[in-house]
Amino acid sequence: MNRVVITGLGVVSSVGQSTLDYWDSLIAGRSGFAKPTLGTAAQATSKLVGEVKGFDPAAHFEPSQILLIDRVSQFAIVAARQAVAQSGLTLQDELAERTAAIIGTGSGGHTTVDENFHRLYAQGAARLHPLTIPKAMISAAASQVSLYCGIKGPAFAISSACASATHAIGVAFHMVRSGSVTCAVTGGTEASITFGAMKGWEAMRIMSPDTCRPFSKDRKGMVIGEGAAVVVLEALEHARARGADILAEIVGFGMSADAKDLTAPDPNGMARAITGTLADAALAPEQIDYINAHGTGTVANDTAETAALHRSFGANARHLAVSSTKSVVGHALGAAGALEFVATVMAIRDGVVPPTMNYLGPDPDCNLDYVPNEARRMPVRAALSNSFAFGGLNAVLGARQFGA
Amino acid sequence: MTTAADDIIEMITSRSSYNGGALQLSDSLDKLGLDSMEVVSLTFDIEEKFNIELPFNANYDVTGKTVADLIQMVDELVATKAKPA
Repeated sequence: MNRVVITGLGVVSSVGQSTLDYWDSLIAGRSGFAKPTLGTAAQATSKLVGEVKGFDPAAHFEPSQILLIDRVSQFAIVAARQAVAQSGLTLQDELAERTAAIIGTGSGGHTTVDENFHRLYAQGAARLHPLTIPKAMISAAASQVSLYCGIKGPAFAISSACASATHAIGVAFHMVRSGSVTCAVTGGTEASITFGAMKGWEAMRIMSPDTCRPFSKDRKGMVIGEGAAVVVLEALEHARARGADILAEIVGFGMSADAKDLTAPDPNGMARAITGTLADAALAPEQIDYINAHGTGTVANDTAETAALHRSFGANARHLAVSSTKSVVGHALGAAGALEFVATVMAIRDGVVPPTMNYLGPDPDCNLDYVPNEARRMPVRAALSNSFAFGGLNAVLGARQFGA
Repeated sequence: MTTAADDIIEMITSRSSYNGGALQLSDSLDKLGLDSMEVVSLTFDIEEKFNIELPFNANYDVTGKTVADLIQMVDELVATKAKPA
């Protein structure tokens, strides 16, 4: 079994289009929530969203390439290029064939679907553009990452709604650990702030009318976001042999399904994924200092997640620092787990825990230390990153400081 | 009868992977340097422009067919469509 380390990070987010800009915004608690400006999404909702503003495809792609790639895949490619560049890996020859590209997404090329089906259904178009399917397919981002980074090993998409990226990184971690690949370029991407999707979220009545305030009293729901994050995972011996800068070690992955309700969260299912991760990582509860929570800002999630943390950590739960990245970037759905895993790695590396912003005060059902409104400097020996998706699909990643 | 020639030549030569140079009507379609997605994309553009359906599918063999053949096919489809029922 290989030990597995993280040697590269890449981010396209609503609060920064590089890992460092993103991390600075998280630490400062600077969110970019605003009314949607993409396409006709603003006609579907009056709620605020976390859009990736000022993303210029022409800065990253040739004009002829842009036509072939949906926004969701553009985000993934840009984040993957950043992560590979930071890792210093040259993905050629045998290493290219020993590297995986595993990208999570909840809805794939949603912009392409929305625009083209509108032409078909509403405008009476006689035909669809022939690139509709290759741009919209849920695996397009994984394909495009493999193409643009020259990755020739296993490549596929993973889709589990809001846990997609966490499942993707976890599966990639287990593949590198088992030795089936040497490296993996893995994460998640989402770009579904469209008229159709926003109508769907409106119908669920879980979008906040003001902002995202996870675990806080008077929290009113989630803020939809978008973006991508990608990490490079690498077998320790390989990273060491080439003298790579090791950011942290990924040590555990746990999964579970609630098998209970399509939308209501279940603390039992969440707790099984958390304790599964601790077991997979061979970490005791008292070794964990920080939890990057799923923390959507809905009444139901945050209460259930708090209960799951009590169940998994017992008396140690009171000593955990728990915070929600979604209070700053919103819920980037299939990308959320990767954005949050990057935050978890940076917290370990820098010894700073990002805050839960917009916190107004305690809710009796949410009685942990949520690092309210201000970042905290503290050593983070090991941390978990939680993702609990609609449909009861739970996934949790564990990472720790790299010590030789 | 007007011909689709100018429009079709422009659609081919403006594509990024077109192998350059002056297009001859006698050039074979399979020698233009267009990749597979550009061929279907060109098909789409022609269909949209002339509001016709080209009888191309994945099994249609363009080997030996020329630019002139394509223009003639489009002209005929446009003429058929224009005929009163």
